Amino acid sequence: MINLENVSRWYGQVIGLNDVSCQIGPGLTALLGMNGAGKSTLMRLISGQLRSTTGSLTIFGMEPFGNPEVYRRLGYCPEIDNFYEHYSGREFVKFLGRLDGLSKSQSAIRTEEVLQMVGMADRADKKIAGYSKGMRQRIKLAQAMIHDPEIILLDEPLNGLDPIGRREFIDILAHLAEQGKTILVSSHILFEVEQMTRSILLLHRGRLMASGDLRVIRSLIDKHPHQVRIETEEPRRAAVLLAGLPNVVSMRFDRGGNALQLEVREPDEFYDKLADIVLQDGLKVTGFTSPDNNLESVFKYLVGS
Amino acid sequence: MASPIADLTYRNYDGPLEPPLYRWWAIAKASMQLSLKKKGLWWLAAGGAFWYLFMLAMLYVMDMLSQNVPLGQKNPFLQQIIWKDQFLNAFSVAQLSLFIIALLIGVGAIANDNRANALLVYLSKPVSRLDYLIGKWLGIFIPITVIVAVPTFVFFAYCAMSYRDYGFLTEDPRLPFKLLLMVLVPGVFHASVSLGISALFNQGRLAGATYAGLYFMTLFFTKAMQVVHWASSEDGGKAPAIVKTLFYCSIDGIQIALAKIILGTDGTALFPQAGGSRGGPPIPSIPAPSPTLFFGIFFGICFLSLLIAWTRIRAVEVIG
Amino acid sequence: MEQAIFGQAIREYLRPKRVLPWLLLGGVCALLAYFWRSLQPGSQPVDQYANVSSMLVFRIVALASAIFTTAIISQEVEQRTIVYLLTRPVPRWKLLLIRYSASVLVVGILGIVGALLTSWGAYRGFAPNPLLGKDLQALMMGAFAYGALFLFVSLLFNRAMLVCLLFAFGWETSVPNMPGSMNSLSILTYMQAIAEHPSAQDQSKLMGIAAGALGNNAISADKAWGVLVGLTVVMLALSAWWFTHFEYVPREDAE
Repeated sequence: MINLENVSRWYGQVIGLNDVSCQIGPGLTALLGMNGAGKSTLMRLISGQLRSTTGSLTIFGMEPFGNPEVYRRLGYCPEIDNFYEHYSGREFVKFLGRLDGLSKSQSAIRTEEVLQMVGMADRADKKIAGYSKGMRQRIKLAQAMIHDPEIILLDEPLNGLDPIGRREFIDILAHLAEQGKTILVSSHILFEVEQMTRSILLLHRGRLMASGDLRVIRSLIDKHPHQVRIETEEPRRAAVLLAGLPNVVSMRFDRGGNALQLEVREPDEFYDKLADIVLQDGLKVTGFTSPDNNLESVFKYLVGS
Repeated sequence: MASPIADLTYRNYDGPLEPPLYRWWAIAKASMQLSLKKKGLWWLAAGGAFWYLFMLAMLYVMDMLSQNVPLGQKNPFLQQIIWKDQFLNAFSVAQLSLFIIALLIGVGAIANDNRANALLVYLSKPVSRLDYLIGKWLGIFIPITVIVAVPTFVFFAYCAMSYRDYGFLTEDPRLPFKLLLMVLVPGVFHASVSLGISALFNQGRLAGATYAGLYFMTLFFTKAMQVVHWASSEDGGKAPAIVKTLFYCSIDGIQIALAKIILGTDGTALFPQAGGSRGGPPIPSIPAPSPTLFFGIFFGICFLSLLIAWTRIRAVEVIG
Repeated sequence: MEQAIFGQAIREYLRPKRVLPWLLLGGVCALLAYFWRSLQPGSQPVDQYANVSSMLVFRIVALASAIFTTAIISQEVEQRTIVYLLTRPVPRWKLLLIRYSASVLVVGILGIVGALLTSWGAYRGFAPNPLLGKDLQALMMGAFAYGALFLFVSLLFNRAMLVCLLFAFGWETSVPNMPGSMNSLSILTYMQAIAEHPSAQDQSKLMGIAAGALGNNAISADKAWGVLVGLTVVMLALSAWWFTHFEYVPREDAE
């Protein structure tokens, strides 16, 4: 659906995006990276505001820059917090619906639907100038969805939302993804992204560092063995039993004395063997976590390496 | 006992703190640094000195021609020059450049801070509203004053060295002090009015448009008054006295009026015997207006503008 | 869709805060025309109207064009709302031209209101004014021509308003009075040719300087129409091409 081949974008002598190739299909994909990593540049390239300096970027097989055919099927929720302040939220969304080619009546109907969806239906008649940050974010999402696009690009959509708002937002995105829409969400707040999806694109200094499923990416990072924390009443016995496994790289006891911290390779194989030990040797395991099997660790390992 | 390992997790500044006196200077300096980076400023500064450059060239040529004058006689062209009027002419010619400079470095001063919420940041520091206002005011006043003063006093020095024989120093012995006062006028006026207008907006563009509208429409109004004055002179009639006052009722006009009052002249052209445009009759100069009235207008406008700026400087987040 | 773009632009341009100063300016023109008789005893209403119209009302169109036309794109970029407009299925050239039409309409109306008020002031009431018809045409054509030129300038420069104001008041004040064919490089010259004010030909030369009508006035009204229409078409075509091919992304810094 969205196809990038060796896409680079220069701003004068500064490179914003460096030789990025990837494909983004239906479902929810998170675009991750630190500030300045190139997330917004990529968003602007995909939304056709910028042209790539080299390489090719196509959406539905078409170049997006200034292409109305693409915009008919694409909704964009920008990071900026700017609006026509003297408009009400309802007027703003309705106006943009008209620009999306909807008739006056269609636009009015869809406006109500999307305002309902983002939880703004009862508050959208006030002037935008008086909106809180969260209300603004909701209005931005509403205008991106008004023409029911197949692709929705959301640049830092969770900024400024309160925890309940975030939860609602994430639910809306999940619902849209279930409908088969292609949703690309950029963020640098990893734990939020983790709640949304496991499909990621990781940008660092303009380069695409990793793309795909988070678990697959994690398992490919050999340089950093997986951390496993086993809580048990017999940590020393557990240590004896586990020391013989070839997957175990290192182990140490927790300060509290009732847990064992392990570093393991090929974690899936390790978990199978652990299950066998628990069953055969009667090892009592009261808790079991994998502290670095998350996005933050993956991000840290990739970016820090 | 202090730990042998320094705690560097928080890198705070522990050097000497500037006394409160200098906080406005930090703001002024930051404004000026931003202004000096604008290439347009340098071009406009050169444009503001245009008349002096023209005069220097003209005087040089006339000097060369005076070699043909018989020994012991003086150059008649140089002899008929009223020196302080040349400063007035240069001051008048520079008005448009100075106004554009004010647009470039002045009108955005507070509006852009409003837009970027920088005002919020400034006022969250131990910087008072007065520090901020003085800093911003100086950030406009100093560049404009320097741009007016440098060519004025360079020209003065050149003339003082070259044309003493033609009465340059004796014509008005207090001229340097008068010039010193005159060069302050544009800086004070533009800095005050720019800040007043700027504080009303959160977009530099709109503040600029407002100031430009005010400048040009009042300019054309005074042109209309000039035309009325001329037309009356041509017909041999007499325009109502108020026309002579209304002629100065523009941004330029107020400053030119003050320059005339300070220099103590009504002004003459470089070639006073020459006709008006396209060989018409000599253009009559309009006498300086009432000093009390125009000093009152000048300080009134400056005060009002600064008052507006003062009341509008608030640490409020501008959304959008 | 076109209607929505036009409506939004008109709504933006006709906000009371924006229109009020222009109406006040129109009022100033009317007052000046009204009192011109006192300032220049013996002058006829038609001369009073012509003087104020040439010196102020024609300039209002230039100034209003500089401000409203630069708002078409520059303001959207500056306030960053351009993103919403450029990511919609509207061809960029269409967006540009519709917004341009809205700005020309508003500028034209402001000029016309100024002219009507000036006429009212000069004649001390609504009376037949032989100059008014052609003036309104000149003002409307001026709004189109200035608008098209300033639109192109606003697409090229970051500080477009400064450039436009310099053109409107520096260039347009001096060039029309220049000898030879130099005055043909000014829009005001052609507006004067369409308006055919008596001051341009018969009145005081000094008045001509202020009105910007001292240059070669042999330009016929037909030629003036042709030049201004040509200029408008060329500038709009260039603007549409430029806007379609180049990026307009809000700046990150607010300066």
